[in-house]
Amino acid sequence: MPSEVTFWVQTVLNCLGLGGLLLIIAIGLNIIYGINRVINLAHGSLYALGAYFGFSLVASGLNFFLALLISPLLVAGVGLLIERSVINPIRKRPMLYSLILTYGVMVFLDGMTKYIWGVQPRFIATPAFLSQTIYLGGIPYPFYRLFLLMVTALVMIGLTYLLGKTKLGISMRAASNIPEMVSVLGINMNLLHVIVFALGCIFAGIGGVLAGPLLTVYPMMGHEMLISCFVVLVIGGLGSLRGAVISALLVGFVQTLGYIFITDYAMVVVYVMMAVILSLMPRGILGEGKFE
Amino acid sequence: MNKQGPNPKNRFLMLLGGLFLLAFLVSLPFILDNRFYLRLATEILIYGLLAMSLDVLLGYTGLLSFMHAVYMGIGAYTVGLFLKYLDPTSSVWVLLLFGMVITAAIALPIGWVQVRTGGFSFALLTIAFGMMLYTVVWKARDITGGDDGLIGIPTPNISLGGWVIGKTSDPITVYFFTLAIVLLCFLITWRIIRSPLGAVLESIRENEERASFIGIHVHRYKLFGWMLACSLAGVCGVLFTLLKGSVSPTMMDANAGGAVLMMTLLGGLGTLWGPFLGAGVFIFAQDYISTMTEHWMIFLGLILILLVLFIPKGIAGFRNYFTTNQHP
Amino acid sequence: MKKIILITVALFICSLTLNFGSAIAQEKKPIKIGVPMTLSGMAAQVGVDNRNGIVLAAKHKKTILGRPIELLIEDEEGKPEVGVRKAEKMVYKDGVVALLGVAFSGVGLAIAEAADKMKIPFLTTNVMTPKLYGISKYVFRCGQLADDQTAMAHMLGIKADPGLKNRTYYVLADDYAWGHSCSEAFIDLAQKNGIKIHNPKYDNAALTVADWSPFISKISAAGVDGMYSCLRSPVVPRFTKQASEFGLMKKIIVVAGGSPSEADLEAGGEAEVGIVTACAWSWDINTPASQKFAKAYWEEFKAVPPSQGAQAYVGAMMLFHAIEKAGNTTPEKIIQALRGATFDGPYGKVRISPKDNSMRTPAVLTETKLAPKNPYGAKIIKKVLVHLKPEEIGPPE
Repeated sequence: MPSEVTFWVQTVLNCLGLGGLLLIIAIGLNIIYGINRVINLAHGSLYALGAYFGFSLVASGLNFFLALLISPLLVAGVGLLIERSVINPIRKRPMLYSLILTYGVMVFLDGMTKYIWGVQPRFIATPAFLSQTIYLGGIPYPFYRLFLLMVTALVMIGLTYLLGKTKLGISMRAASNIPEMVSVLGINMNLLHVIVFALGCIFAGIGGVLAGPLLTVYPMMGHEMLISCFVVLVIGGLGSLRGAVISALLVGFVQTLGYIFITDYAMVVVYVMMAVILSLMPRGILGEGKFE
Repeated sequence: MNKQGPNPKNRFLMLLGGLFLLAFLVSLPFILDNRFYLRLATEILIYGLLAMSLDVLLGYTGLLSFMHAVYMGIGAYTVGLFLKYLDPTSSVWVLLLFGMVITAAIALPIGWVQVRTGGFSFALLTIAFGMMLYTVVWKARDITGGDDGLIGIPTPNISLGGWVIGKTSDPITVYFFTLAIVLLCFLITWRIIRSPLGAVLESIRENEERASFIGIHVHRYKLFGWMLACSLAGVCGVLFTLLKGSVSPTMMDANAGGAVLMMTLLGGLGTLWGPFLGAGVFIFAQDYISTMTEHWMIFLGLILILLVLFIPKGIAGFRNYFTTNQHP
Repeated sequence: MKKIILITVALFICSLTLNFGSAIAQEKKPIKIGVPMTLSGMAAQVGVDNRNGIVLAAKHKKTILGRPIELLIEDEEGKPEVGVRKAEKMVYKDGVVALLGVAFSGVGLAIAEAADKMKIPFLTTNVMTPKLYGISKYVFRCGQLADDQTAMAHMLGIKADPGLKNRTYYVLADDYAWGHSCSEAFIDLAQKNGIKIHNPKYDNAALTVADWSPFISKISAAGVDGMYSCLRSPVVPRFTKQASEFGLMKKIIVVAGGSPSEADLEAGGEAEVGIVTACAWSWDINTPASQKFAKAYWEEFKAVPPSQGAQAYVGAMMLFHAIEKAGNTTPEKIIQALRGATFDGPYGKVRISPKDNSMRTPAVLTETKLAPKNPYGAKIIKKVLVHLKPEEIGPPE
């Protein structure tokens, strides 16, 4: 296989992989903003928590796939505790306060994570068949990354179905557009908020467990992911699902290609992109509030 | 929003309170017999001014910035480089002017682009531009030292006219100098905020659309608020370099930006003096707690959460801020 | 306003109480040593290893000049300005006689400058930057090999081994001061010694990179058979694990300018085999002194004894013994005792050269392999390939 082709096939797959991971996490952040109107700065820490739960579950002997299912639920549990105890009480206050609050939650969670699991990086052990190298027509590629893409696709299909065909999904879309109308129509907004927050945490948790075997589990992982996610959201438009897909792919490509060709300034390119798009189209590529 | 001018009785009380505070601050070096605490107090004054400048931006003009510390960094690096490579014995007044002007020059085009948006978009743009500036400082290792920081910065004398007051390496001298500059900046900003100009800024904060309907050039005034805040931040940077003697990129990264935002919010938005308390509490708490335990993050996070839940208006309490729904 | 007066009074009372605190502190008997260390952030594991080594040294030494040792360990978060603040606090408020530790060059340089101003001895156990050489008569380096020493150790190892000598090396550096310093030192030596470098302008990876696939693809496409990594310790195992999934580790040997710590190697498991790296100590060294240290570390911390722990241990011991030799705690006496000081420890005799206040130390070149049965439950061992003498790795005096 000529090395050029190998290189480009691997690179395209890498871009998609990164985009996929970003998408899963960014969607969680997105729905929490779109419906709960909370900018959850602790989202990155919840993602990290998902990875750490995944690590502990697998280390104690549980099957990786089971951990992939259970860990997000644990994260949702933690998230709900936080939501009910601290985020909900300040719902009526200006959004600014949810910013400081979630910042405080982020610092707290980071500290707790460090306290419980220590500072050294951890790997999540995956079953042998997942961590093998497969050869696509002679081109070596980690099977795990393809698995990541498959999971992303599944999650997106599930989400589309949820939003399009279920009552919950329709309520969510309505709530993101016109919150006042939704409660008038008799939908329990409180319950909706709880469910949506939990769902957002589940996405973060899934992202965490998926990222664990790949990127290692370490205390700062949430921070780095959070910034990339914000870029994705901003470019795609806060509250827009379709926008998130496009921008996640865009950021995935720009970041990956940036690292290859410009190495040190890769992230700057991403920031410049965000600045340009925000200045010209302040509501993101597809506009915000359109939750579809 | 209640903006009655203070009646004579209130005015008198405020003046008395202010003098009392001033007396305390001036006598501080003699109350504290320990050099470390005096330097900590100086640092709190500087960050207090930075937090106050963010209050000008956020509390009065209604623009949120996540990376305001970047502009302090620019002021700090500019002066550090000036002292190290251009003129080690430069007058501190020249340095103040230089730092402020350069910071303003850089903030101007960025502000011009940013004020065209508002709300959350504005905030995210501050992150984008802030990270770009941070990266430039980081990458220009040959000039700035990168993450090794800028060290070996000379300590000039502080002199007025021909009279040398002292060296910046002397904690007492630098404390009084910082106090004087901070007070000066505070009074100037206070005057501006209390003037019709300040009223315009507040009207923009309350409702941008309505303000433009009555004929206010919203962008122009937002830019003014931005420039005032960034210039003050530049001054903070100069004071910082004179105090510390070294500069490093960590003072202007995302963490630093978040920290100064917390200080401002803790102290109380829209008060101008509240952020000073916020800075004091934040720095002191972070330092004190991290001495006690290496798991200081847990406590800091808890304190922030509790403060938001139970003392939402910050320590100083604020006037009617955010009475309208602020959705980006 | 009443509020202002109330707050002012509160501040006044606070500032008074601060004084009482410091007054009491002056009267205590122990010898206090300030240890600013990075215990959070990206290099936290390095900080923890260093701290453990220092704590163990204090435990073994027990007393200096008949007085118990008290370590004041504080987290400077990897930020130079916090480091300076902590250093000033330790000196002015807590009355420490010396400063010890620090994981990062940036913090180390800032504290070095502060130590010089405060006229307090400062010994770093992990700072590698060449900028520290001769920076101040109060500042000393002992512990982790400096950048130039590391490059030399690797160069000697590569030249001595036919399996390494003929490879072409791709150089990848973390994009911060240490990464650049490490790469430049190596490339410079390589060009002088005829070792092939694929990219003399070396590639930089931003500190936030978690997904190494772009770089892995690039290295694959370049067709090289060797790599010199100037990635920081916690990142190396991540890189090699991802690389092995791409089948890259079968094609290249990684020489790690930044020695991966034992904890990180354990986390990565089998994917971490085949990394060549130089350090001062590995628990593979079979001398009685070395094994004694390894056992003691294991007893105390129940973790695989790390190179950086041993290095910090030696640094701390060097300082403690120097204070002992000085006879009292005045800074001038201590720094006099430190110049030319020696300590014979887990990896032999280490000496601080009076020429540049930095250490001359033996080192070992190691390669990671699957560990034989061992009392630490370790899966990976840094197997010693070559022992290097102090005068071989320099710097020359």
